[in-house]
Amino acid sequence: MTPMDSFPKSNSVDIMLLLEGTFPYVSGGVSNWVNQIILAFPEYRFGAVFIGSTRGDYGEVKYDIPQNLVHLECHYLHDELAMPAIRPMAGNNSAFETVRRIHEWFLHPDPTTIDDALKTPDFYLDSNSGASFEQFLYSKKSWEMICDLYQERCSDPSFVDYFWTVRNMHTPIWLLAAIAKQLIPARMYHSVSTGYAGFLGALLHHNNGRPLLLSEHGIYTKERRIDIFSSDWIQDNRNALQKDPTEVSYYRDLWIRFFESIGRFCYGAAANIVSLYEEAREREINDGALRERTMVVPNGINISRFATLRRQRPDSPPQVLTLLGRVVPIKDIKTFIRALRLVANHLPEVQGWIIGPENENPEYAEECRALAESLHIASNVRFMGFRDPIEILPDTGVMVLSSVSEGLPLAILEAFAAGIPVVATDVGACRQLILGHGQEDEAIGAAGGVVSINNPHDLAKEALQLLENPPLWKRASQAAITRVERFYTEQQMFANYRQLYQRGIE
Amino acid sequence: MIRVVLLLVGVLCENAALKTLFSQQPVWTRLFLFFAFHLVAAVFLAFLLRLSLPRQADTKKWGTLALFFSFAFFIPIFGCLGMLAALIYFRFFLQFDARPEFFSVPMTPFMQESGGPAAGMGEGGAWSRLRSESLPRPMRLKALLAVGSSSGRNASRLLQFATSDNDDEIRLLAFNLTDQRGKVINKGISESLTSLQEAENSDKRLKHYRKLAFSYWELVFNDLAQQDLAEFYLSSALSYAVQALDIDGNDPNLLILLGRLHLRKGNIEEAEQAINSAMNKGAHRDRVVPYLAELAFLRRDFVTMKSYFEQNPLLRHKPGIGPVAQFWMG
Repeated sequence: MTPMDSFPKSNSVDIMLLLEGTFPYVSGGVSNWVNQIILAFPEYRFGAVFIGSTRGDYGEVKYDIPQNLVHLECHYLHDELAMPAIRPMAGNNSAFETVRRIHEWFLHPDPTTIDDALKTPDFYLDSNSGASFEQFLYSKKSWEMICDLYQERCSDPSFVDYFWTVRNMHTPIWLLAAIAKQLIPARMYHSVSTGYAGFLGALLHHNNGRPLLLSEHGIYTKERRIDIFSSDWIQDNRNALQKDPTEVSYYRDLWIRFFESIGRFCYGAAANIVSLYEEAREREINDGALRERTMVVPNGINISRFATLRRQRPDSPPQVLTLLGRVVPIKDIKTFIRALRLVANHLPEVQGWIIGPENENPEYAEECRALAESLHIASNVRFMGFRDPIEILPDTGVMVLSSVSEGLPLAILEAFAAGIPVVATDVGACRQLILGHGQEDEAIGAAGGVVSINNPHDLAKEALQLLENPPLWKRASQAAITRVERFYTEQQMFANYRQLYQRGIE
Repeated sequence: MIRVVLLLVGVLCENAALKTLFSQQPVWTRLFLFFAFHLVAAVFLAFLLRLSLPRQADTKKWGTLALFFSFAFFIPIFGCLGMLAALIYFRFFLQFDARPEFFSVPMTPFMQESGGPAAGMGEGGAWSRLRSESLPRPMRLKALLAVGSSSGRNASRLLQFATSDNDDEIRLLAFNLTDQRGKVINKGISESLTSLQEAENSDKRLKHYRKLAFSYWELVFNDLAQQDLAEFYLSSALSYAVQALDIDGNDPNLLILLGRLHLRKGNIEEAEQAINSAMNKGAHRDRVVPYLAELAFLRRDFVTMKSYFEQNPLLRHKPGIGPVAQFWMG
């Protein structure tokens, strides 16, 4: 029996969670949050749809399946869709006219005015009334449309690349439509990101009329943008005469616009859009979310679980800097390693613990190891894989987050609850967490330091100050405890979500 | 007016030349007068023709004058008439056919979309755009991408500067572009360190020490590290360069690198020793003179410094040191 066969199945659920690349296969902040939410509402029967890239990208399930998660199904965007047999066909004229219109809409999008025909899964599945997958792949209409759009818009000379980019980019949409069509009924849908999961949520909402709640931890389109900028697989075939170095290559731009477009589709369908802090909310509004549907609900944690660790703290800080996060570029582990080199110049025995899975981007993990060697601190850096923070925090002197993008990191809240000061980059809600937000919060004092991204010098300086100055470390520790207990408890977060769920279900 | 005078004088002289040819005077006198009048007529008509040429055709003044004079003088009467007729025809009656097939081919859609001229903002333009946070994001992104497409330490500094931007998009793109730069060098360093551990003899060790010295220097030279981290890279480069030279002290390129590393660290004596040693071991003078000049400058020995530039006048035209040489050489 494969693990997937052993997942619980049900005929209906109260809340269907739509998860892309997170719970239950990937450990990390968002997955922990999902687990926390499911456990917090035993009165509701949850279902979950996990959307991944390919099965091989994910190992074993990382969480015990909660009792009230009564339905779980997993789908893989690049594995699952069987290619239909090739046969010539004309294609549905009116459906492709609709697709043309939507491509015009992409140029001047408005989430409230999207073409109704595209909102339901039937459009993608019924070859008589819509454009089926087979038609997308093999019909003359589809070919003509791709050719026309290439001529009108593509600034890259390679038609072959354009053709395959369009195919690869759009293929998951038909899979998501099929998932939406066969998914068991739910009283409401809750997506934890835009992207493919959000698109699925929008299709489900339009198909079944049940409300969609969207909680964004990071901003999906922004994070995709980072991935796309850093990816090597996207081609740029323009020669020196065609290339304008001040412009992003066409295919990168196309991929970015694709994710922005499906993001807007999701914003248009969501009844409530939750962000973790005010700046993220503003960003969502800029990206197409309607202001009146947005709200801020900060993360919160189970304080008591970590409060017991405070007793184990020594009087002076342990010489250990811990980074809790996946080993991926967005966490900028390299800056942490560089900073550790500078700290080691003063404290040669200092240790840098990197707690997080490496399987998501093994190439990057290898680069990080290479960097540690080139800086002659391979013996100071320990890549420890995924661990429960409870095991790590008592031996940690300072928690470090060197990310280039964050939401409101649970790792910081957990460190705070255990009385560990944090030095983090000035991204997401990190400044708000460490220095406070508003008069009452700021009066508590600094619970660590905030530095600009990609700045090992300042990161090392802040960490050193805390490691070498026990009274300062203790003050920061106390501020951390006070802040997390006052503003970031899970009870506060659950109260907000209880209201949202009640409203959605009723 | 001048053209009328030239034409009248030319025609009258040619006419006079013809008349004298058929006059009753002795043969030699007739011939002499004929050639004299014909010569004057040819000169005047040649000037007239040259003045009548369209401006864009008037590129070789004396060449065209000589050509017209030759026609007018060596083909009496008909040469001048033919030239005048040709000029009138070309000037007033010849119509150049337009060839629309060459420029009426429509541009392909993607060329129309991206056919605008590149921004050409220059380094200063990129700085000012990135500094002005009030500018629209697309304009600043363009500046950043332009910087990202160029190499060198100034570009690295600009990218580093942009990683502190308040705009998420700018900051993340700048970070990404910066990260790409150091990646290859760090990978090379790591490989060399591994190979160094496995190296069995001094020849192999020399190869890896050498590569490590240059790789660490590359990180510093391109400004891919700042402050203490740059200092660490510099010390590492120096340490590997010294170890490589312990095995083979005759490598002029490595000696130059050693000199540059000492220069960067402010060790003037050691730098000079290394640079002179490089020259003695066969380094080309053009390569070491800029460093000798820099050393002289640091010692405030401006006379010696100037003499280096004067001995090597070609330095004026070399990138990098060129403007410095021009400044000191006047």
